[in-house]
Amino acid sequence: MRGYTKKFRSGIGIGYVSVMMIFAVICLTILAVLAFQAASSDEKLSEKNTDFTHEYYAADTEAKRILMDLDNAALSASESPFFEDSFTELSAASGAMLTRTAEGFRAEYSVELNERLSLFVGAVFYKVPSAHEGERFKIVEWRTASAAESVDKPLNVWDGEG
Amino acid sequence: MRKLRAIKTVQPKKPSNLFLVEMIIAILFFSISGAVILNVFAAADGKMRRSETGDSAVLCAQSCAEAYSLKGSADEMAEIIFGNFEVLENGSLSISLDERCMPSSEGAITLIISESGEDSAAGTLKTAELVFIKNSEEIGRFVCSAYVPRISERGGEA
Repeated sequence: MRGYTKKFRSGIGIGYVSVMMIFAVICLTILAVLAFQAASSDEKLSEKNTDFTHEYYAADTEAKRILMDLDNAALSASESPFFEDSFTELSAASGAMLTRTAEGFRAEYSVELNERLSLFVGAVFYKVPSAHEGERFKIVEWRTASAAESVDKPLNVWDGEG
Repeated sequence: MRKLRAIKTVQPKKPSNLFLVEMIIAILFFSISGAVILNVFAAADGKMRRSETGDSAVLCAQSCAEAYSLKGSADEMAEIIFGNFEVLENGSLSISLDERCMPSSEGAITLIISESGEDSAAGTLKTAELVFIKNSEEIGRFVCSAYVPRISERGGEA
């Protein structure tokens, strides 16, 4: 007699469901990890942006405080007969570098923003405010730049040649 | 006779039981892993929303800081940037904002602006503190300033 060789076969093979399920879980896991990674990176960038904004406006406030000190020095100097000497003496505490101009003084100073950047400020203080609608100063420079950049600039002084 | 007996015994029950058990284990494992993965997606979505709100708050604060530096007054700054604002009992300003920090009548975010000043003979250094609050939780705090010089009467215009 022939051997009974007919084998029973179900509609779906054993193991096929497990393989598909594992594949789907792996795909979903990779997707979830990538989404979480992208969100974390975005959050870190957002935090850095917030921190920089805090640093900038803290430096901005400090720069305005120094400007107020210089303005007070200019106000006191305007009441004395010798504006240049008085302003130079009174503004020494602020640490600003002063350069004489035809209108009065140009004051330049910097405030550290962070390890890499500084806020550079330049303002012209008038000897005669009445000639400038009562204003004692005018801001000519207010910028952020690399901290390595120095406020100290060489004076364009005639050296006797040409 | 023995060969006929051998042919009779064909019972396919074990493969069916095994398949059912496999299905149950697969569904169980898939549901557990699906729950974990959904939690990860929800956490990622929460992070994205928080960082988006934080970025909007920073941009709004920067606009307010520049307007305050120009005008030197919190009222004028709020008028320029937001249009409408409410004055609280302690003198602070309260502004209702939406998720993108745009003015909104029924916003999820409240911006409180408090002002203080440091007087001197030459002028006043005014400081404004901006606090963003969402669901009773502070999401950002920024400080900006403005120097308002006092024009000398002797110098010219008062």
